Amino acid sequence: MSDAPEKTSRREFLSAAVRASGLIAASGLLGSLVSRGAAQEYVWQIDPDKCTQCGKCATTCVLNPSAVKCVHEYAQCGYCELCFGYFIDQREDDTEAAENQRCPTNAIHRSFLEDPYYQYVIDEAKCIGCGICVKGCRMYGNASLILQIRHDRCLNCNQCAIAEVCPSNAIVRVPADKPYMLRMKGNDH
Amino acid sequence: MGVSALLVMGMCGCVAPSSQISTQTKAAVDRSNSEVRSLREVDPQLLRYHQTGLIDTGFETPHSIALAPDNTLYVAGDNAIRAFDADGRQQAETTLSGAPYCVAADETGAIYVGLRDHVEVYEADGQMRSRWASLGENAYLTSIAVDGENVWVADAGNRAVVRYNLAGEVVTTLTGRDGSADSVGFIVPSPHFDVAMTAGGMLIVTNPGRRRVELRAGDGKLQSFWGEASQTIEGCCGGCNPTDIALLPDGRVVTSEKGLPRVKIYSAEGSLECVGAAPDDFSARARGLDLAVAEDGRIMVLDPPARAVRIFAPKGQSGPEGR
Repeated sequence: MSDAPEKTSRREFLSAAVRASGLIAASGLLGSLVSRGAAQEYVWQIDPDKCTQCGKCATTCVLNPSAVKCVHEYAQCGYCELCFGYFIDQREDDTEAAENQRCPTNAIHRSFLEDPYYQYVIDEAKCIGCGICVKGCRMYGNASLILQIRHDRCLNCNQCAIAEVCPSNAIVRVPADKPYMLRMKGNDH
Repeated sequence: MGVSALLVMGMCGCVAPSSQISTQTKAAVDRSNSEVRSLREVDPQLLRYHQTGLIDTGFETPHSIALAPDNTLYVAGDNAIRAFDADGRQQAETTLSGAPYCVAADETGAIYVGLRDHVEVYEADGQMRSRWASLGENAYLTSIAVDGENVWVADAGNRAVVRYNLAGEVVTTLTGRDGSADSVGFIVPSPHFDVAMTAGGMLIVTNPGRRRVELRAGDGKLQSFWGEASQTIEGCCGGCNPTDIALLPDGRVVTSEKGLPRVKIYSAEGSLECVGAAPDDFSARARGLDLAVAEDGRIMVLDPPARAVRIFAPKGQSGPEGR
C-alpha cells in the first residue's frame, strides 16, 4: 500500500470546489433567511389606548408622507350624522364644504347610508397621520378612528424615529403575524 | 402656505414636501387644540353650582349611580353594587354575577340592577329577589327608572325602552318610531341612553343621535322634544348627546354630556337655565357622567375616570360633610 497521497484530477478538484461553494452559498442563504426571519418577528405599531394624537407621527416618520395612517374600526363606529372626526367643532353649517372639515388633507370621505347614518372612509393616499380626526372622534364619539402604522409602507427601521419622540410611549413592538392593534374591547364609550 | 393650501394639495392628490407637512400639521393640530380649549370655558355667570363633596366609590370601573327614596346612594361598578349613607360612608356591598351598567331603587327597598342583557332585583340586604329574562344578545342596558307600577329600562343595544311590570314581564317595547316611513326612532350611536319618569307619570328619554330630550306618554307617543346640536353651552355638543338625564324636584331637567363633559340645568320646556358643572370640574376624558338628584336639589355626578361621585350644590348651599 503506497503512502503517497492520491492524485486528484483537475475535474475532481473543480467538482469538489463547486460542491463546497454551493454548500457555503446555501448556508449563507439559510443564515440570511434565519436572520431576516428574526428581524421580522416584531414590527412597530401604535397602541391606540396610549396615543394622545400629538401630531408627531406625521412629522417624524422617515417616510413622506408618514407610514402612520388613520384606520377606521367600523365595528366601533356609530355612523354618526355629525361625526367630529370629520367636522370641526364650530362651523357655519353641516355641509361637507372644505372649511367645515377637520382633516387638513381632505382624506376622509363622507357618504350617506340611510337617515340618519353616514359612513366615513379614509383615503390613505391622502392621509398624513396627523391624528386630528382621531382626537375629534375620541373626544366626542366612539373612538373608532385610530392611528396605526401601515405595514405596506413601514420600513420597520431598527429604531423607529417616531418611537424616539412619542410623548406617551405609544409606539411598541408587536408580533409580525399580529401587526395591528385595534381597540375592539367592547363598547366602553 | 396656510392650512388651506395643504387641504387644496390633498384635494389635488399632491404630496407636500416634508417640511411643509411638518409646519402645516403643527398649525392644524394647534388650531384644533385651541378650538377645544375655548369650548371648555364656561361663562362664570352661568355656573351657579359648585362642588361640595366627593365620594370615592372604590370601584375600578364605576358605571352608574342612583339615589333611593331613603337617601341611600347606590353605585354600580365592577361586579357589585355598593350602598353609601348620607355621609358618604359605604354601608353595604352586593356581589353580582356580572358587570352592572345601571341601577335604580324604589320605595319598597328593591334595588333594580341592569346587567348587560337582563335585570336583576335585589333586597336592600343583598338577597336576590328575581332575575328577569334576557333581552337578547344585542341588548346593552344603560338606564332604569321605576314609577311604582312599572320598570322602564333603556336598552342602548336594541335602541328601545322596555316597559316591565313589577313581576318582570315585558309590557311593551318603545322604539320611538311612530309608524311613518321616515320615522327612525331612537338613535343611539354609543352606549349612552337614559330614561327618567316625571312626577306626572310621563317618560323623559334621551335621543342622543338627534341631540335632543323627548317627553313621551306611557304608550310611547311623542309629546314634545327639545334640544339642538351645538358646541356652544346652549346646545348638545358632539354627535351623540346628552348621555344622561335626571329630574330636579321642581321638574327641571339636568343633562350631562360627553366630549365636553358638562352638566347643565334646563327648564322643563328645554331652555337653558344654568350650568351645574363645567368641563374643568371633571377628570380628563370623563364620560358616562351618570346623574342623580337629591330632594334638596343637590346633583350627584359619577366621574368614572376619577372613580368617584362628585356632589354639586347651588352656590350658597353646602352639603353634609363627605356629601
